[in-house]
Amino acid sequence: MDSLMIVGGIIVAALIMLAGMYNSHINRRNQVDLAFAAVDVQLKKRWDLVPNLVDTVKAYAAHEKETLTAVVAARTEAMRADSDSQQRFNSEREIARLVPSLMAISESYPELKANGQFLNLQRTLTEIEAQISAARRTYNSSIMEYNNGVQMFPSNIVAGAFGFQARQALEIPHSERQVRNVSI
Amino acid sequence: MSQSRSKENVSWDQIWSKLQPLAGELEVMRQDQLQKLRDFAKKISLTVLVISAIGMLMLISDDLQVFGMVVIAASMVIGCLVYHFSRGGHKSDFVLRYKSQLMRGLVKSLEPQMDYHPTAGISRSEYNSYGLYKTRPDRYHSEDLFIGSIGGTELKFAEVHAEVKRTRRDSQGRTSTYWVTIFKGVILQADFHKEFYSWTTVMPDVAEKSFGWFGRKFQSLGGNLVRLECPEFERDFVVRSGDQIEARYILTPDMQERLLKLHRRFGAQSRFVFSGSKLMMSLPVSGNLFEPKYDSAANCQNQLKRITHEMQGLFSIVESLNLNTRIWSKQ
Repeated sequence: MDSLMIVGGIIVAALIMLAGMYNSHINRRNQVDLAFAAVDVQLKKRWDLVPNLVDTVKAYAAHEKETLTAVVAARTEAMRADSDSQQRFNSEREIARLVPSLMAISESYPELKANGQFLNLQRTLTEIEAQISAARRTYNSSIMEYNNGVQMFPSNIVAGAFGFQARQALEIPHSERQVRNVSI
Repeated sequence: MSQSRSKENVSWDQIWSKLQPLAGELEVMRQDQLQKLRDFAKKISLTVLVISAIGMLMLISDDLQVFGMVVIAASMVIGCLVYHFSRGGHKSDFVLRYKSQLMRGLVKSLEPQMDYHPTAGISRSEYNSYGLYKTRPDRYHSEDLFIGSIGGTELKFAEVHAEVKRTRRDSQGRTSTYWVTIFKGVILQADFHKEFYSWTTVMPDVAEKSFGWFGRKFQSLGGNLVRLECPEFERDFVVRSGDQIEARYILTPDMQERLLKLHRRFGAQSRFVFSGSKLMMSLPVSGNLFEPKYDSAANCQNQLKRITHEMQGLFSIVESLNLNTRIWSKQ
């Protein structure tokens, strides 16, 4: 009788542990999905900025047609693609490359540089880029927690049994990884 | 355009040439006070001598011996106390004038948009609202308030000494009260250069430093933990936040580096709280800042240089943390 109770107790404890590990995986996976959604929200805010930016720059620098066309095309591609597809990733990377180039155009056009709307867009863009960076970093942190759960013993046993697989982190652009030398 | 005058632009000679006449006046006042104290000391000494002489006469008589000793001792003690309080009164008066006139002029020379109030401080309710320390103080004192702006950044800081009362019981069951310092140093509040809506705390890391991996696991039990990328920052601090993304928006790799350097400059016990688009920090300092010495000449340049250095060390925090860079949506 005693041995039956001990065995029963061990089984119950093991089941509780199993349930706990499974729920932890679910929790971490949901955190990852939530973090990805947050990145998506910020990227869409950047899309919304593009038409205003293009119109403002066009008014002063119409013959920068190549860059203007390219950024509009990248935005359209990004909007059409599935949120977690390679095409979406490539389009967002293209937008991230082209939008700063559009801003840099203002260096050659003093009137554009002094334009109030352009200055406002510049601030808003800087804000959005900072938010995108923060959202990416949060996503990568949640990916790390999730991957740790999937790969580390003994939770990897439960992960393997229920089909949880490691995911890839988002690539952080080199400029965002730089830490300037600070002298205080 | 920044209205802040950096130390490179304002030389010591320029500052001293402005303040020297005032320092001279204060020194004349101090010398007058010292002369009055010397005269008073002579009178006290004479009085104590006379009373002690009477006491000594009493020692001759057997019946009055004890009374005589009491008279001698009491006259000396009272004489010392009277002199001490008198000196204290003169010293307080001198220090207040030095601070209100000379040091206020110094602040205006260094940072024209800052003002200095020697007897004001950060209120107890503000201190509690900052959330830097969980323990509410039973005894609280704050002074030497600096308030204003440096460049586009609003800034306020003051010396604070917060203590909590504890009681202990000895083996005979008698209780005694003693005071434990929660915090002694400078509390600073600055307008942060980004807009944010949640809260983020950056506290010294004890658990991970002491217990390594186990400490790290223990920390996560507290909830709202934020793990950041910079290993040195992670080792020195534990970060908690109501919003993971906002915490990373505030604590960029660059800001982490800057906070780390500031933290190490102040003995690695500082704390930071980000709330309501403001940054609050506590910078422990063991001594008493911004205090002129009564025994030093009021027109002593070295003393004023020391105080200047203390002020500039705190004014430079705005630059150290790059708070005047306003390229995001908050202006």
